[in-house]
Amino acid sequence: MSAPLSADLARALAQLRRRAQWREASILFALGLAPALAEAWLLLRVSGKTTAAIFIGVALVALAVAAWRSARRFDQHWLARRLDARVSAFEDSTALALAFEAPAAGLQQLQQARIRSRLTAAAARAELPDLRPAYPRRGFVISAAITSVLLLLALFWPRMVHVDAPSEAATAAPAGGGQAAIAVTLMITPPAYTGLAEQTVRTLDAKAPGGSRVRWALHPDAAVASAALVFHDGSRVPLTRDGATWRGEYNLAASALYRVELDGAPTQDRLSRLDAIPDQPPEIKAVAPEKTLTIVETPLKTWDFAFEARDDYGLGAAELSVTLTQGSGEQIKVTEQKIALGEGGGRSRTYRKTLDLAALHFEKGDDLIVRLAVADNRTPQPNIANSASFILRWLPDGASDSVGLEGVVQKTLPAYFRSERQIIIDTEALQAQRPALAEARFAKQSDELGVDQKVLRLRYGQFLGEGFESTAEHAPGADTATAGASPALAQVPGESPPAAAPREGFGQDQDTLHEFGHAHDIAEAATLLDPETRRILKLALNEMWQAELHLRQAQPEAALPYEYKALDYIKQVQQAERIYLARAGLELPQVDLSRRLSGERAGLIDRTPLLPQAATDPVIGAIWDALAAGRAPDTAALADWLRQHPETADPLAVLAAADRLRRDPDCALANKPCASRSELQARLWPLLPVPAAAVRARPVPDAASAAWLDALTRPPQ
Amino acid sequence: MTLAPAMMTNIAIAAAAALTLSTAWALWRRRGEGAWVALLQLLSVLLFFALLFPPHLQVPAATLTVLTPGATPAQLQAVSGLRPIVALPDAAAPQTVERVADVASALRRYPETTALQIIGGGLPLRDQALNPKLALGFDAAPERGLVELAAPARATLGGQWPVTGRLAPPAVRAELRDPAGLVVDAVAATNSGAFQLSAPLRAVGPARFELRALAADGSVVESASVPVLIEAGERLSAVARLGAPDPEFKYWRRWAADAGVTLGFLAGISEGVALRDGDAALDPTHLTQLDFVVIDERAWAVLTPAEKAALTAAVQNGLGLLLRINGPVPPEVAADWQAFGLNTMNLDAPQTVALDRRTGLHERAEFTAAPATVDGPGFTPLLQADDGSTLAAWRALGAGRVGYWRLLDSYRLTLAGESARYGALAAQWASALSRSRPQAPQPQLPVPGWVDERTVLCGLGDAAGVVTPNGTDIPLTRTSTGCAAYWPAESGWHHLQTGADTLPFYIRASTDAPGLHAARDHAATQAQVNPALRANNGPTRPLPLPRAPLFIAWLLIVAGLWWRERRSL
Repeated sequence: MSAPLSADLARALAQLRRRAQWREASILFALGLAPALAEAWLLLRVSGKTTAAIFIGVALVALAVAAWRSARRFDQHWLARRLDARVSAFEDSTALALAFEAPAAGLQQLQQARIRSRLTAAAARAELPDLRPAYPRRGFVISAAITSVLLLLALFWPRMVHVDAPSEAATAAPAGGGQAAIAVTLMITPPAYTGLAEQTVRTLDAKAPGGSRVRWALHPDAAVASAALVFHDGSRVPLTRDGATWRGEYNLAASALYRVELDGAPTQDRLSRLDAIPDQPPEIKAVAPEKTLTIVETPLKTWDFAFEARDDYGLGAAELSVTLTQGSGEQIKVTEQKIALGEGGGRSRTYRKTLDLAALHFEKGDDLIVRLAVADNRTPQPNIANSASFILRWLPDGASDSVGLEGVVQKTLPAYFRSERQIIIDTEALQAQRPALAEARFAKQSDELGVDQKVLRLRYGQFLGEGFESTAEHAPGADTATAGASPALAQVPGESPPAAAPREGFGQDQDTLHEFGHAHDIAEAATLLDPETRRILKLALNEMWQAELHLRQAQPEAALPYEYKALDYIKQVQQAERIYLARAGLELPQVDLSRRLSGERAGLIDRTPLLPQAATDPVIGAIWDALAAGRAPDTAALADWLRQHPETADPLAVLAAADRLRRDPDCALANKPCASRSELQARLWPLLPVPAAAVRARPVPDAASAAWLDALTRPPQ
Repeated sequence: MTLAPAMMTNIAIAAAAALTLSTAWALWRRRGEGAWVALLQLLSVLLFFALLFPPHLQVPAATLTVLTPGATPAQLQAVSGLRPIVALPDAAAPQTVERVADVASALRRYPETTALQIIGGGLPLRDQALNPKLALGFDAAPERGLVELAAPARATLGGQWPVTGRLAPPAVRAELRDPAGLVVDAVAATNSGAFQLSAPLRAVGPARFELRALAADGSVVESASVPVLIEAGERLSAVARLGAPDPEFKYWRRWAADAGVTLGFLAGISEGVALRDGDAALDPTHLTQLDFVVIDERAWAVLTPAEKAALTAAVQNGLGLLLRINGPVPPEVAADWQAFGLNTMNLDAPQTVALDRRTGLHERAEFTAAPATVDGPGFTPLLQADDGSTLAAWRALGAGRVGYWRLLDSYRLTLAGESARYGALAAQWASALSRSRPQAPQPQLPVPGWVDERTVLCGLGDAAGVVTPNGTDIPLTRTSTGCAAYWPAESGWHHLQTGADTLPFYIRASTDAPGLHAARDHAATQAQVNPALRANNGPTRPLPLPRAPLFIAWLLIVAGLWWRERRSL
């Protein structure tokens, strides 16, 4: 057995080995790592992250395993060989000296001791050679070449693009700003009454309740001298500088389009849009009563109703308007009062009220009309919504059968009862002729007038039924030719009218009828009159009786006042329930009485255009034609037209499209197709008026069709 | 090779066998290494021959399953075990299924295919021209959304333009939107899915309407562009002779004045009194200048024989004549009209007819038809009521046309607010009856195609070109039939320029009307289904041997022979 090596020597030798191993490992890593990394990058570009990661992991593991395996090569035997090769003093006996095998003979032991001492001495003097393997230059060159090839491949490998969309690019509008990127913050303060919180948005487009205040805080990238907001209607809001921020304020009354201008140059192609959400008036729903017309026939003490109102922001004051109409016909009295139902609050409320009808003096024949008006809490002017009107009607007496039959019941007398006026005219004429006429003739004419008056009276009397009797007293001092009959008349009410008067003039057959019986042919007319009309008609008949009396006594001047009064009463009956409507719309040319019915056709003009031209609005049509021809449209006229027609749906979109067309450089050329132009044209479509259907003639049939038609119509041979 | 592959194979095999046997016997006589060399040389020759004309093997025929876009998950599940199976681009197939660019490349990969089984929506346009010898089976995916759409591609200004079609579940409502995006008309589809919509046309030029198919909950199933080219009208001239003015004539006269028809009329009012405007004479010279004439049966009764003769002659020369029937036709008038081919039969009373389904009205409106029906040979109906009775019809007489109109109160359309529909009806019969005018030959507009698909434009003159929406000019190559093919790369309005005319036509984007696209492919694939061929082909088909192994074998043998020669040098 040989003695073990000294500690120093062992340490020194181990250090030699270790250094060599490390050198070998580092060479291996140096050679292999760069190409591996390059390959990993290539794989990243070609296949993606997972493949590259896997490859790197595998490469590192492989390198480590290779390094470990190559390190194992540097063992004691290798050390001995290398020391022998490098140091001649060791006389090729290092293996012996390091005592790998136990020496057998004495010479070997001697040699071992000798070499060991030399080893120890060399180790103590630090003269052991450096056994680290040299850096392989060729290896590095090859590795560098491979790495560079892989790097070049990775750099120029076409990138794999995942195409999942169809072949055309999506033409979404560019979001936010155009050329210059501006950071912008909008602070929107809704009006206080809405109760909404302030909101902050970071885009130029915003939606806010109408009336909100919008504050801009712009942070442009570069320093600018001036900034302003230009709106679509031309108004400008200049922004003020506040450090690096530009601030401005605007009250959003209506929806608007605007653009940011920095140093006078606009920054975006597209107009940004501020939508003002209008405050809607409240919605009212009536819970009770269910019908708008309630008819009562019995006395009612109270009338209660309930309404539900809802608003988007908040309700304001509510008021009930109560209208009472009394009377009928032309004598209607209307009283109105308003009852406050409370102040607002909340977004939905139910209003209940019970009306005391006695306190309102609601009587028979009256109408009570109730309507609720609710305001919302909008601050400059609240929006007021009215509910439907609810009518409570108490039917008057005797009108129960006529409520549903308004078209059938005859409330007015027919218009042919105008002969009373003719009698007046004749009476006045007779009176005027009195000096020219003989006495007997005068009396005869007056009597005839009296007969006419009597016939008229009888005709009116038929409307009251045969139950009428002239119960009028005689005028004092009336000694008439029929004086004998009048006391009989005065005595007997309810009998037939006097038959003793001389039957002259017309109406003889009627008198016969009255003489021998009753005429029931218009009996049904008698019962259709309402009592008020009957009363007035009776008065009229009394007056007519008086007039007749005096006329028969050849006293037309005395009869005249009675005739006037009778006419007055008759007119009252006629006009009692009449509704006056003005005749409108018919302005006939004045009749030329001199030419009337003469048959002259001179001077008549042919009214050629019998049909007036259909009125069309030319503005939008002209703009459409300009767009179709490729010319620039008249944007000012378009803006005016949109302002005059506020019922257009979304006028701001039309204006934005017109603005886009104006700014689009492609569209300046007439013949070039232009997306903005067709977009504006499309937006104008619903604004165009619909023209009358045009007609085209049919085309001439081509040769084949003409031959076919000819063959069809030719008579068979 | 002109001979059949099987015959070639047999000849080759026979020749090779003969040669081999004779050479082997000769070499056997000689023996030695030279025999092997000679054999190898013979083999190389045979291999070269086989390389040029590969022999065929009989292999069992295979059915290739092709998955097309639109395949439902249920269908995919059903065919998941079948082999071989390929998927076309855009087909929703699982990852394990092989993807091919088109059916032709699939057939190259599987050359033993004799039958194709198409699963899904149908073959796209580029694959629809298949080898007719292949048997084709089609397992169609159910149709979805808008499957049929019919709308006139050209229309005249101001009329009510009809759009009809058919929806398949889940779409139950159809909505028509104008170019600005506002809803013009909406209707729920019938039980079979058919719908009928219409819109008034407001201006001349190309316009793109949008049809949206909505599901029951209001969500959009799909949307389709419906393009229309609106043309301006022409000025016509007409004369009307009526027994009395009536509201029908009043509204018709209003329409005629607005549509640019120069009208002269004579309407009788009483004995010796008539209402006249313009030139209503019916002499031959005036009739040659007119486009059509409207005559009542009462006005016919008071026409002089000279006027009747002039009318008949003018109709033979091309004039249009409309006979309005307002009441029972008197016998002498009926006798005269028999010469025109109208056999009238008087009824007891006017009939009440409804027109809502035919004209697409959304509200039920009742109209009255005159108490006389007309029969006759060769009549083409112009207007039919819902119950099928003919209210107006025309027939050709010489170069002109004679028609009759039985509807008494079509003006109720105007009263109901449908003046565009009334105008469209009036324009329709005026156009059908008017004197024909020569028009320039127009190219045929293609049915709206899709982007990246081939469309065909026909009726082209020389120097035809297309201007794309981007402004690029693309010249078209015209075949002898006057048609040219065009592959649009963008969607939108393309303009066809032939000579001095520019005609716009619309190309749909790929997401536009997917249901119609699928329906078209479906119909085209269904038309090619032929299962009967399978029986003729038999269960096997000849498959040529692959050439590459033959080449390598030949190369090796020749290389070995060469090396041997070289070695012996």
